[in-house]
Amino acid sequence: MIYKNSYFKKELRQAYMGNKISTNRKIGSALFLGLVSFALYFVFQTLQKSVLSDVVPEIMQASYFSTVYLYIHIAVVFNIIYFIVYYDYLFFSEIRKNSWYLLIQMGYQPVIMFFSKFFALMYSVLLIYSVGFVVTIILTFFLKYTFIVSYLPTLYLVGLGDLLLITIISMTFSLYAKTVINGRYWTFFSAVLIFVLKITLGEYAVISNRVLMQNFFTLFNLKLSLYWLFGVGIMIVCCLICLVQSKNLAKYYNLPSDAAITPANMILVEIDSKTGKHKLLGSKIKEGWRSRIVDTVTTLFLIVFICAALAFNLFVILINASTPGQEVTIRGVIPFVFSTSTMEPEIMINDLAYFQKVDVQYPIEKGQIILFEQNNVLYVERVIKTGNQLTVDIDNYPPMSQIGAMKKTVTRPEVHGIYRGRNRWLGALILFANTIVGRLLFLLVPAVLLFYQGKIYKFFKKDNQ
Amino acid sequence: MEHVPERVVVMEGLSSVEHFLVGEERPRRVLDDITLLIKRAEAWGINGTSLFEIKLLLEIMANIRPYDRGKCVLIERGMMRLKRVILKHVFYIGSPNMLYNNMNVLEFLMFATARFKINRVVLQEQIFELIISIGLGHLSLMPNQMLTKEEKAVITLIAAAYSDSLMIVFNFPEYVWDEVLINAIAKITSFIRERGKTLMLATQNCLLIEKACSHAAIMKDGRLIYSGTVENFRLKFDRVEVIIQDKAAHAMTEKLALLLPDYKLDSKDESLLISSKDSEASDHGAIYKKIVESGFTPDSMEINPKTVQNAYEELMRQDDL
Repeated sequence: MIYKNSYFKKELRQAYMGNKISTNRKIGSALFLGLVSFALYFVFQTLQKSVLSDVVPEIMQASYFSTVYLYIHIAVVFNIIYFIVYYDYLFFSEIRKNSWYLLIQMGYQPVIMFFSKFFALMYSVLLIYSVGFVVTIILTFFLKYTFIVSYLPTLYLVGLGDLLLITIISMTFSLYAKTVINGRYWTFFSAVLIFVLKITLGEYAVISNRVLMQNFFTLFNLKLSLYWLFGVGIMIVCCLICLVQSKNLAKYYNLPSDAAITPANMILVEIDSKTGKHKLLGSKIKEGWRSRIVDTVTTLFLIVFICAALAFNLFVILINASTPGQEVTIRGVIPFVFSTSTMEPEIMINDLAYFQKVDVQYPIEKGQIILFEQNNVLYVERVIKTGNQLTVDIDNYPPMSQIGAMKKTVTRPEVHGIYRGRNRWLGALILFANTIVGRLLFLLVPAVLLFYQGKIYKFFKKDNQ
Repeated sequence: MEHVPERVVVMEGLSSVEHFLVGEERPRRVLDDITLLIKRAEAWGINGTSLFEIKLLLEIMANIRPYDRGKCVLIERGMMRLKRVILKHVFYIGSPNMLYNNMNVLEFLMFATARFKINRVVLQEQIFELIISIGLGHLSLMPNQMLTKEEKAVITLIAAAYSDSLMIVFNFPEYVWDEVLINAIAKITSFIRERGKTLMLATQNCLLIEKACSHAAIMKDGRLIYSGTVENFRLKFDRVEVIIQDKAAHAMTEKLALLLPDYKLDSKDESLLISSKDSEASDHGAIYKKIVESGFTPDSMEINPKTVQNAYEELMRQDDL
């Protein structure tokens, strides 16, 4: 076999040993992305009757729009993770490792290397994204939703724009990041930057509107959002910065730290022979505190995530274990997942409602919502008449049902609590935690993290070094 | 006809900007008053007591770091004011991370030499044969990420040998070299010298200097205490003439000292080292005769081949005195 690699071909391989393996991996990733989007769509469908339907209806609808909308966001998240993991191979850290130094000495041109790197990365991103997009559409086809073509090109462009923007910003940051770990943080930061930009410039309001998105040119309507104007501007500026800075960086040999060979018992200083000023050299101290910060942050993050996930699980188990007569009380408050729409709009379906535990002496007023038990069943209804016995009724009768059918008379000992408030998001989260994916995320993932925490810690430590 | 410069590095009274501070003592320059002349197609091994000093000297030589006083001229072209800037005539190897981890060794070397206008098939054959001839055939198809940092450095040196740079600076004084790699470097050095290039090699491994270098420069406390050919260094400073191996070597020391008054005798474990007191050549036959006449028949007796390691130790001892 005769090796005939050009720089462009080398870039197309990215982290892999061969071009073919790399292409297969890319196609595999695209299929995986399509499947994940589809799976996630189903997970969201299980949360249909929750706060999500009100807040993000664009991903809860039974349409191609929702699956594709999910896909374009998952593609962005996937690419960020991909960029962070393979940062070394994808961006300009190789200049700081002096790989370009060697190639320039061997006759390579920095400008050509820059363009090769840029186009190879853009091509790879485009390939994965496009194949994944098609896979998502094909999978959605099996759901037999009405196929509306008009919003697909617009959605495709939205996702592509985000990806190209993240790619070029990450590339630019990689020219300034002196260590790989910093570069990875900057890559994450570039994604956050785009997310903030989209929110502040009203891009989300445009792209989540299914009707607006049927017109391709809506994206470029500056009256609706300035995001694309900013995005294109940032891309052009970043391209120019990359070109100039990569060329500039490639002119120099990057000196690795000499900390390891500096004599331990001596301090290294640079003395200006004219002024006699001392300047401390060596980076032992600096590296020390940086390393400690990364170690601490990694450990802290792991601990917080594991503890939060386990605590939440415990909370979900406690709520699920609540039975009439044996409600779980946390500091005098009974959390209760409300699974009907009978008290809408005060308490929506699947909201987590809080009830203050009360005794028979507690004064209950008309209009208050109470939690009571009758015939071993828990009810939540509003008090419409007070006295020795309370008369209660629900707020929302379903259409075609007989008004007043749920009116009840409740004795004081039957009352368990008075409604004090609700949390819609926590309700949705509990609903999610009860799904298979939720169980995996909140139980299995922390368990795996706990088991492999030593290895994770070592990985970050090694990376930092 | 293109002028090929003969004097590759000319250093005169060079002193570093960097100083060492030890407690309340006066700062000491890391490098002070270095004078060195390196010519074309020579291979220099730079050794010394401090890794930092050796590394710094080669960094200054390669225009990576600035210096404070003195003069340093590279390839008869002077020295750039701008430091760390890539110079076509200087190939500096100071990091093993120049290789791409997603390639194997042969593939990387082919990739590095891809810009050369040579038939790819012929070039690959040449490179492959070179790798085998230097004894690294077992690494030729190994992914770069599986190589040790020393092996990576050697592969980078092969790439440098193919470059157009007249001067190659191989700056890894802290690395530990095994015999396979020492032999490989020695063979690459021959290849480099055949192509009219000059190699500067920083190491604390005396065997590497002995096998690979034509010249040596030894540093101590920031000063150059020896510079010249390796041959001269060995002959001048390694004064051990004969090595005797015997269990009773230690017991025989006093008796032999009387018979060999012009020689210094040192016993080490079961060995007895007979060294001349001056630098003049000794008569090994006469030493052997006197030992045999004394009635002592040692298990083995050999003429010391004169090593850089012994010469280095002797030089350090002399400098301490």
